[in-house]
Amino acid sequence: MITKDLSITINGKQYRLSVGARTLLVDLLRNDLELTGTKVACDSGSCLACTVLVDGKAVKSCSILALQVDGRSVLTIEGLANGDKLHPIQESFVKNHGLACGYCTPGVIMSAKALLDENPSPTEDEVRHVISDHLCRCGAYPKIVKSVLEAAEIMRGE
Amino acid sequence: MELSAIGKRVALEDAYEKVTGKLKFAVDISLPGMLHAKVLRSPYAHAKIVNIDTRKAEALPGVRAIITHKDVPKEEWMELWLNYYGRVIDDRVRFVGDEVAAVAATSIDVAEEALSLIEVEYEELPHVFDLEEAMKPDAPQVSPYGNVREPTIVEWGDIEQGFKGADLIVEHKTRAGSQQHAPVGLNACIATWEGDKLTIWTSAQSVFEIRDVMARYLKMPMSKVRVIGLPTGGSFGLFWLNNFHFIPVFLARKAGKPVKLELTREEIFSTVKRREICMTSVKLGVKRDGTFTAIHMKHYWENGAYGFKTNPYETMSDLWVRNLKHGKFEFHGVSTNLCTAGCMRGVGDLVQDFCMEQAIDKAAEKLGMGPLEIRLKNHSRAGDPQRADVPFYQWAKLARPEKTLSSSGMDKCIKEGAKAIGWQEKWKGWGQPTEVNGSKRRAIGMAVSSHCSGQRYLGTSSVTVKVNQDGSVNLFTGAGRMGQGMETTQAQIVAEVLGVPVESIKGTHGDTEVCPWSVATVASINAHQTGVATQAAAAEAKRQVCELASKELGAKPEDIDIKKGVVFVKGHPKRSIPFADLTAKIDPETGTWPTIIASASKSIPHSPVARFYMAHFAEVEVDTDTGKVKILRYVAVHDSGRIINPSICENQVVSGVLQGCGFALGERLVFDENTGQILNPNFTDYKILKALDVPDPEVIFVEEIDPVGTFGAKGIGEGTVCPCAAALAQAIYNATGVEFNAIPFTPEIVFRALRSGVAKDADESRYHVAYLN
Repeated sequence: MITKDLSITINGKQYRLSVGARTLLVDLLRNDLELTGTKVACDSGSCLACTVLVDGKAVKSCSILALQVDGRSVLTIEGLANGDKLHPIQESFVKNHGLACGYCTPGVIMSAKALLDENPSPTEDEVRHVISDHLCRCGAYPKIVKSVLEAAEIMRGE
Repeated sequence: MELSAIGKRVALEDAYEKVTGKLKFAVDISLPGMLHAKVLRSPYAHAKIVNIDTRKAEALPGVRAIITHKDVPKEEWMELWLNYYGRVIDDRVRFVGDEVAAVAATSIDVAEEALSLIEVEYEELPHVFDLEEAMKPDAPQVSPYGNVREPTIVEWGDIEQGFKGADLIVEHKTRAGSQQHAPVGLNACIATWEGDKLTIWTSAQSVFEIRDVMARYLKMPMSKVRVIGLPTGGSFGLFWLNNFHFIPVFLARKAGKPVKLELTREEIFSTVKRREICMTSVKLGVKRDGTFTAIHMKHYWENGAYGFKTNPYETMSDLWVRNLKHGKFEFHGVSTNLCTAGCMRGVGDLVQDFCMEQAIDKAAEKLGMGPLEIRLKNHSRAGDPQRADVPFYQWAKLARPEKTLSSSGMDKCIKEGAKAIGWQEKWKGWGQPTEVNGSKRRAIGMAVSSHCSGQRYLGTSSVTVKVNQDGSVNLFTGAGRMGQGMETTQAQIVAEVLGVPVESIKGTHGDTEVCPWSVATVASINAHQTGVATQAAAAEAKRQVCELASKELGAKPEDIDIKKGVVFVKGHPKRSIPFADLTAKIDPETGTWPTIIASASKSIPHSPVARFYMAHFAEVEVDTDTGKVKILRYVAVHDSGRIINPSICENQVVSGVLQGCGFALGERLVFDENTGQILNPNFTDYKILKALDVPDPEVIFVEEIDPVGTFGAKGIGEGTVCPCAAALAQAIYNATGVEFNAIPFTPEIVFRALRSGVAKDADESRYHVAYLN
C-alpha cells in the first residue's frame, strides 16, 4: 500500500500521520483516530451524515481523500464543544429536540456551524435549504430548522 | 391531576451524547483483536448449491474463518413475529442476495478478496416473483412448507346476512408496492466468545428477542448469552433479529476471535427486510343513512423468501365496529423469490387502511355524504368489542376474555382536523377541486386510521429502579433504543411517581445481562405498556423511601409523600427532609446507607384494549401537465392518550407523515424483472422526503386520557404513517376526478393516468417489476 506522510490539524490538535494513498478522510477519522462521531450512512455521497469542516467549509468526509486535507484544518463534531461546555448550536439542538435517533445529528450540526459562521443571520428558507441536503429519516426537520435559527440568535447575542 | 414531569418537553436523556458525537452505535464499536466479516451472496433468485469450494479463500493470508451451509445447524430458526423462518445458510438460495458463505479476516479488504476466491457451483431452479403467480398450485415452491400459508381469519356474525341488510354494497381493490425502512443508521453485529459465553453487540430494537432466540437456537443457557443492545440510528422495524446476526456468531466461534459484520447500504436495502407487496379487497355493506352493515376484507401479501407471516398485526378489523354486526377479515401470506419481507412501521394497518378508506369514500360518494360524516357515524367508540387478536389466542390455545375498547378520541381527531384545515370552506364535494389555475388543481382530502398500543400477549415487561445514597436514580429496562425517545419518557414516568427531578434519573436499557426482561420495542409498546411496569417499579421504590422516612419524620408511611425532591408529611409540608438527605443517612443499626431497589413485572390488562387514533388532512396541488403532486398543507391530529413528552411525540408524527407521504408519492423498491434483484438499493435512486419536499406538518394532540395506559398514555410511533396514502389519494381524486388505488402514485403514474382519462385500475399495476418497463 502506498502511504504518504501528512500533517493535519484535527480539532485544534496537530497530527503527523502516515496515511494510505486511497484512504478517505472519513476512514482516517473513524478507523485510525477513533473519532466515530462522524457517521457513515449511504456509501453514495448522498446523505451528508459524514459532514465535517475543512478550513471552515462543510465537506463530505466520505468524498474526499485524506491526502487532500494535508496542511489543512479539520473540525469534527468532537471538536465543537469547549470542554464540557456545549457550543450554542449543540445547546439549541438539545433544548429544541432538533434530533431523534441522533445518527444524522453530527453531520447536521457541522453543516449548521458552517452556515452560521458564513451567514450569522440566515433566513428560515436559507436554513431549510442547507438542512434539506441531509437525510433525516426520523423527520426532525421542523425542529432542526428551529434549533439552527435559535442558535443563530444566541450567537448574535440577541 | 397536577403533573410535574409528565407532559413536559424534557430534553432527550441522551441528547448530550448525540450532539457531541459520543453516542456509540454498533458500527462505532471496535474490540481488541476483532476480525471483519463479509458475506458471499447469491446471484440467482433460486438455485441449489451443488458444490462449494473454499480452499483458495482459506489460503489467502489474513483469512481466519469461513462458513458455508456445512458449518451451521441443519435446523431452521424462527423470528418471533415470523419475519424469518429458515436456516442461517442453506444449500439452496432463494433470492438474489441470499447468504451463501461468509469470511472473517483481518481486514474488510482481505475478506472481500477472499469472497472472490470461493468457488460455487449452482444449479438454477425455477423462480417466482409475483404474488398471484406464487399462489398457483403449479408455481415453483420457495419455502419447504409451500408458498401459501394458512390464512388468518377474524370473523363475527354472518357477512352474507349483513350484505342482505345493506342498501348499498361497494367493492374496492388496492395494491401497494414495497417500501424500505431506509433508516439512516447501518446494521452491524459484533460477536465474541469467551469460553462458552457469547456476547453480542448490536444496534437493536428487539434486544431480548435476540438473546432468547439466539440461546434457544444455539442450545445455550440464556444466562450465557449476553446481548448488548445499542442505539439503532432509526429502525422502523429493520433493526430486529435478522439472519445476518447469526453470521458473526458462527464466524467468531470458528475463528476464536471477535468478529464484526457491518452491512453496506446496498446490503441493508436489498438483503435484510422490507415492506411487503400486497393486494387488498374490501366489500362494504352500507345502509342509506351511512351505517355499515358488513365488511369483508381480503388481504394478500408476499413475505419474500424467508418471511413467514400469517398475521399482519392489524387493527383494521376493530376500527369500524360501532354498528358492525357482521365482519370477516382474511389475511393470506405468500412466499416469493424476492428479498425477505416483514414488519415495517404501520405493518398491516397502513396498506389495509388504504383500501378500507377508499371503499368508505366510494360508499359516501354514492350516498351523497361527505367523508367526515360517514366516518363520524361508524368509527369505534370506547366499550365497543375488539377482536383483532382472536387468531393469536386460538393459535396459542388460550382462553380469551371478551375484549372492549378502552378509549377513543377519533371523534375529536376528525373535528379538530377539519377545523384546522378549514374543511368547511375548502371541501367542494367529491371530485371537485377547491381551485383551478391553468394546469394546477388544488383540493383537500382526509383519512383516518388506528394502530395498536402494545399487545398484552407479547409478554410482560419488567423494570428495575435503584435509588442511590446521593438521591440519584438508576432505571433499567430491556427496551431497545431506536431514537423514539423511550429513555426520556420512561425517566419522566419515574420522576413523576417518585417525586424527584427527571435530571436525577439515568437509564440503562437493553443490556440483557443487567436489565430485566422486556418485550421487544415493537407495536408502539413503551409509553403505554412498558410504562405500566416502570410506574409500578417507581411506586415500589417510593414505598420504600416513605417507609424509611416514617422513622425520620414520625409519621406513618402512607401519610408521607414526595414532591420536587422533598419528602414530607401530607398536610404538614414543614415536616420534611430533602430526598437526598434521607437516602444519605446511615442506618445506626447496620452502619450502611439504605438499600432502595425496586422491581416490577407488570403489563396492561387483557381488556379493555387501547388503540391509538388519528385523522390526517392534506391540501394538495396537482399539476396536470407534469403529474407532480405538491403537498401545500398537512394537518395530523392524533389521539395517543396523554402525551408524556410533546416534543418527542411531535417528532414521531412528523417522521411518520414524511414516511407515509413518501411511500404514497414515490418510495418504491424496483425489482429486476428477470432476477428479482432490487435495482435501487441506495439513497440516490430511492428517494425519501426531506425538508423541502413537504411543508412542516401541523401536529395536534387531542389527548383523550386512556384508562389503561401509564398516566393515560397510548402508543404513537408506529401508526403515524398509516393514513397518509389514503388522505393524499382522496385529495388527488378531489383535485382531478381520478382515483389512485395503487401505492405509490409517482408523477409518472399520475401523468399517465390523467392522460388516459380513466381511473387507474389496481390490477394494471404490477409492483414487482420496474413500473415503466
